[in-house]
Amino acid sequence: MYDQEVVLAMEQRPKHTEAILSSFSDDEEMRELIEYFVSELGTKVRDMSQAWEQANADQIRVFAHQLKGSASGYGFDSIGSAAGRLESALNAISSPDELSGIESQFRELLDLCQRASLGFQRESDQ
Amino acid sequence: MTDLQTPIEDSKPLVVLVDDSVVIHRLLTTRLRSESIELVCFESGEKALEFAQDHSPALFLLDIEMPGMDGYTMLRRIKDEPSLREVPIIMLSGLSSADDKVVAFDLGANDFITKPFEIAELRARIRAALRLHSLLQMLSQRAQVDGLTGLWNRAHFDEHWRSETSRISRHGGELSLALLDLDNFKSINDTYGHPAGDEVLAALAKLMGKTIRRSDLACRYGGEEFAIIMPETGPTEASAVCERIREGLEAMRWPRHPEREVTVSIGIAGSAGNAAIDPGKWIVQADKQLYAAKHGGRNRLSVINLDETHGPRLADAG
Repeated sequence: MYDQEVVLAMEQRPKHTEAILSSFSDDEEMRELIEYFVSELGTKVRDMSQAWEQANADQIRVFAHQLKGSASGYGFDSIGSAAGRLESALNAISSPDELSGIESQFRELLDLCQRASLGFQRESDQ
Repeated sequence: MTDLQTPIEDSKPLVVLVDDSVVIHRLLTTRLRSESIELVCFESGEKALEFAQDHSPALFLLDIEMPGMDGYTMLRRIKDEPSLREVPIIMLSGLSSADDKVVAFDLGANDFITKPFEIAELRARIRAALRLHSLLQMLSQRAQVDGLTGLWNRAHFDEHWRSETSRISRHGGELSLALLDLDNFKSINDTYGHPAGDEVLAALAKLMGKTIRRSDLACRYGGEEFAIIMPETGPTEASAVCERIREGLEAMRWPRHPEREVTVSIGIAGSAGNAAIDPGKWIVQADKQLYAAKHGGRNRLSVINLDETHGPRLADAG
């Protein structure tokens, strides 16, 4: 149990430290929206981690589906694509037991989301 | 000028978005600001339907995968609702298979945009759907309006009479019906030609339009026959309105035939709320009054107060 927690904690740190910025960052109209989206992302990442621990495939599917549909609109195409890949992977499995098989898609998405919030913090530091 | 419910809406078209994701609401609210629309967002289909039934949306944007009422069910419900049936619908969904699109289009959707969408494309498709809505409105108006006089046509009269009589049978209230028939109209056509006849019809329609009140409905009922539905109006008040029309027409001078005046006979059947009479028989009573006016010498009114002749007590006695 302890070992698993450590592994999880290490996994949750972003793999890269490159921040992701919205492609609409320079758009005046979008500033407030991007801020809103990124803060929502923070909440989603926490909820998704929990859902993963609980092997709640349905909840993860909902997250993936919604992110796939909305992230590009906020200028985060990479997040949208990764969410799409996670959703497809989820659709291919038939029981929560198979979740471990799609862990890399899951981690990829989480990683991108965390890098987006990093990106936003750096932006607002300027 | 009479309130013929001007076909072109001056206010911004109302667009109703139904999507369980608030993230989409916020994105579209900001991104569609540049469009001349009023966007209202709902997370649930039930609430959106309730709202739509009391307002006149110009367009629906529907997500498909939603908890509770999904997009397809919402689509069916919209098409089942007479007041919403003609409103264009754009599906906005993360589902992108051809099957999903076929289902949506066959259920009546006008367009299908997959998420994630390009905002410029969404804007363009919204504009296209709103153009469609405008055309549909004009068509529906045209189908209900008489080409020559600009008054509502007989079909619209029938519909409106049904709803007015239905309303007072539920809620009570005053209602009067006037039938107007031009005197010796055939001889105007025969003597001065059809263009002269058309001019007379158009002039009477214009006079009616100027004389009636906002709540009244003036219709072309037949070739040379007109009708006015007057809600919240008893027989006395209805007579006053019609007398102004009769007088106005009699006083008119006609450049094409200055030696020939034009007059109208009018039959009125009204109730202050106590009449027990079915809609069809009501029209018959107005028609009888019209006949009486013609046979009484033309260029006059004849009125019946239905409360006196068809009051509930009499109905019970029958």
